[in-house]
Amino acid sequence: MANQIPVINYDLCYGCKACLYDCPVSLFELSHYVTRKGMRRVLPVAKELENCIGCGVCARTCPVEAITMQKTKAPDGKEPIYIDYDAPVRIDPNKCTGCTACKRVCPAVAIVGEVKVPHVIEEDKCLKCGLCMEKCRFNAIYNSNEPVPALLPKEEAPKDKEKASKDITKEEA
Amino acid sequence: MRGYCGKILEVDLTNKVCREIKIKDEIYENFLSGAALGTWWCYRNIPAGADPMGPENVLCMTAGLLTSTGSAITGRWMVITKSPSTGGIGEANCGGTFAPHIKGCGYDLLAFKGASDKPVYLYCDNNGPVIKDASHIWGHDAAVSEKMLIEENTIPGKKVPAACTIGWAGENKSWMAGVCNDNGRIAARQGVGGVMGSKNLKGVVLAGTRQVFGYNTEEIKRLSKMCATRINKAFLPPQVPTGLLNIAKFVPELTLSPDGIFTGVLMGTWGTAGASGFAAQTGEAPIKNWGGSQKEDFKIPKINRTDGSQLLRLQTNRYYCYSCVYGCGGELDISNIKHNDQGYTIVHKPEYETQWDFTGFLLNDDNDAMLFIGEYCNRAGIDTISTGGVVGMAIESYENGLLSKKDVGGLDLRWGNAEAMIKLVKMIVHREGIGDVLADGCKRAVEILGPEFAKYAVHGGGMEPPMHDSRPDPQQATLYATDATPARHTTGGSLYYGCMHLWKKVSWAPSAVLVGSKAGEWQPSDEEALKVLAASYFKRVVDGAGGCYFGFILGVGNYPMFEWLEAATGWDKTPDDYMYIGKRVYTMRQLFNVKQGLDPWYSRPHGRMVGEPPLKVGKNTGKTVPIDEMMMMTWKNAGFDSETGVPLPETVEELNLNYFLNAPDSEFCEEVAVYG
Repeated sequence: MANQIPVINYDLCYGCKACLYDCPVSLFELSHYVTRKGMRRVLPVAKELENCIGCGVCARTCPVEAITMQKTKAPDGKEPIYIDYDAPVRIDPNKCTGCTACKRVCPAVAIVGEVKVPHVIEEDKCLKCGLCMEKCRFNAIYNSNEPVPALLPKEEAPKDKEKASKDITKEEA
Repeated sequence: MRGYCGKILEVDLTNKVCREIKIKDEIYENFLSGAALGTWWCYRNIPAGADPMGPENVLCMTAGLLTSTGSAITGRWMVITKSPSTGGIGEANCGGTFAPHIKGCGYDLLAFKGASDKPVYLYCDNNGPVIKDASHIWGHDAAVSEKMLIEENTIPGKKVPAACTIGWAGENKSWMAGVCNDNGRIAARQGVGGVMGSKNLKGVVLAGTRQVFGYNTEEIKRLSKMCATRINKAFLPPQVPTGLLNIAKFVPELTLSPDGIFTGVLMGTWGTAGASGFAAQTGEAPIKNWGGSQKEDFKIPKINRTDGSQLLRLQTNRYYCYSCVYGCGGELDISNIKHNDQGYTIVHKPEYETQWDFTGFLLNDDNDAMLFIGEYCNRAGIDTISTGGVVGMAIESYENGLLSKKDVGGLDLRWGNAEAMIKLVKMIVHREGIGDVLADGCKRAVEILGPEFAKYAVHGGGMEPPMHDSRPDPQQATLYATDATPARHTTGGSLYYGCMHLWKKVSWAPSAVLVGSKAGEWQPSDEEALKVLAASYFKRVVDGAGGCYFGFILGVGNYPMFEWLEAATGWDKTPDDYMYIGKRVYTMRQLFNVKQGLDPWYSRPHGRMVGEPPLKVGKNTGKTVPIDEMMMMTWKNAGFDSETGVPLPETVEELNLNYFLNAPDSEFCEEVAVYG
């Protein structure tokens, strides 16, 4: 389940479909609906909420703010990662092992990088869904305005990155 | 971000290569985006004298600066190219749902140059653009093609793509063909679909997920909610009959300037189709190919039979374009209408243009025939305005003995013969028999058939005019005659100028009284010319933003265009500054035509459009517009030579257009990626 899911206030919704067409996973579909005033409308409804990635694009794109994002809890009770949408999501190259796990889970093809080479997030593509942050085992991905640190020489890299690097090699073997 | 993506995708269909090009901020700051950006690109990349149907022409698809930023009623997309029907700048505008997907791929504009040797389509997602084979799609109508393209490119769990396509008319390179999206919405005018067909480009499929932000999203939303609230309050229950509007026929000729929200009442309640009865009885709707009247040729009983309320009975739900809070559209169930040999079911409600073009304009009171033709044209991807105009020419030519029954393939092509009308439309779409002569519009048909047909070929500069008679509305006539894309009503304000209340925000826009005499509008004057120009410049701003014509006529108090642009860009410009941008774009469009060798007098309308000679019966009896003086007065006030209509050198220099249009590409463009 995503860190947050959309809730539509149908008293405010006009059915302009901005949410439907801007959603990166096409979560919504059109459904016939009769308002309390007896008007026949075709309005967006979320198909399967478990497919929501929690990026909040629908809430941001709605011209009349009919959508709010409701925070969720994961089934295991753990607090999901909450995103600051005013700050970018970035990768610390000194912690990134280039395992490609984040790249494979990114719904926006926003992460570039070869195997065993520190990855980079293309910020203009990033949806800030947080899936990469949840997936990363090396705490290499952060959500703040702190600039991406310069890549340090290998001997200065954090020790846990070396250990993790060995774990990956073991896994691949 | 400031609402725009800052990049263009240039697609070379000959060599199958795509280039991603970054565009400098100063272009957006001086032109905005949308149609203006497309015109700028076309000016710089289409050589003088290029064949519109040849590989040198460029076809642009573009979304506006405000699209996807959270503003309301700003989801239009536009197709810009060199028009085959006029020989000048060609522009078509469409609602539907395609616009946000252009920006979702990270581009403000897609520019197609060259021509493919076989049918192809462009697919683009976050991985970049790919040109794919479309041979298996070619031959299908626009709606079926769209469905096929979406299905074959849908990946489970990913964003469902949006597509635009051409239908049979575009494949047959008709100069009346358009580009379709969302099951029958269409960017219809000026033959843009024919240009797409000439490039063997069947469609465009977009599935990008990039986000777009404005400078101040909170302020954008505040303005959107204000706009939506006003529209929501101005609402009538749909049970109110459209006949209520017919009271207008008793109102003497007045110029009215109510708050534009009243147009919101009409559009939101009935859509544009609700206006036909009212338009027919007040003289706004042209009848019998611009040669007839509601008194003699299409009387009240027939007007009532074809009134918009008849369509609303078939409506299943309202339809809203992307980001629209108006919902002037609708979907109809036409499963049970006569003539439906194609098995159409749920279709888009016809607009007023389609509705009147195939009823009163051709003296047909069979609504089912009009509904069928409207949907057939949507599927075929052909402009209903131009098709109706050319059918009117054919019928009148037949009725007056210039065309024989043999010439028209055995059809009994008389006024009001619905069956013959339907067959002729099909022949036009598929270029069969006389249809091949008519498929490129009235002007081209006269070139093939002979000058004796010219009196029935009603057009302005090669464009068949819409169903808004210009004889009772001199501002409308002037707009048809002077705009760089002539004979179109959505390029400026005309009779809606009074609703827009531009003078409340723009220092030089002439004011209008709430109720006044219309007589003064027939006298050419600087004030009348400035009204035409003010509305035209404002429309350039709206088209650069991705706004809708029905938002435009809501007026600046209800549709806060200047404020939205400020919130999206943070440029610190005033309404006068944005109108100056509008003037720059307006002048650029005229320069495009001059570069392509057009004499600005080419768009002087057909005599019937300006009352030469005037009608002798009906609401528009005796009305003649002094069109030459009106054109010259408008050109003078636009900073053009009043005799020739060519922009004056000092005007071009003041607007910095020499620099923007002629400086090397390196001044504004930077190639950032190549695909293919």
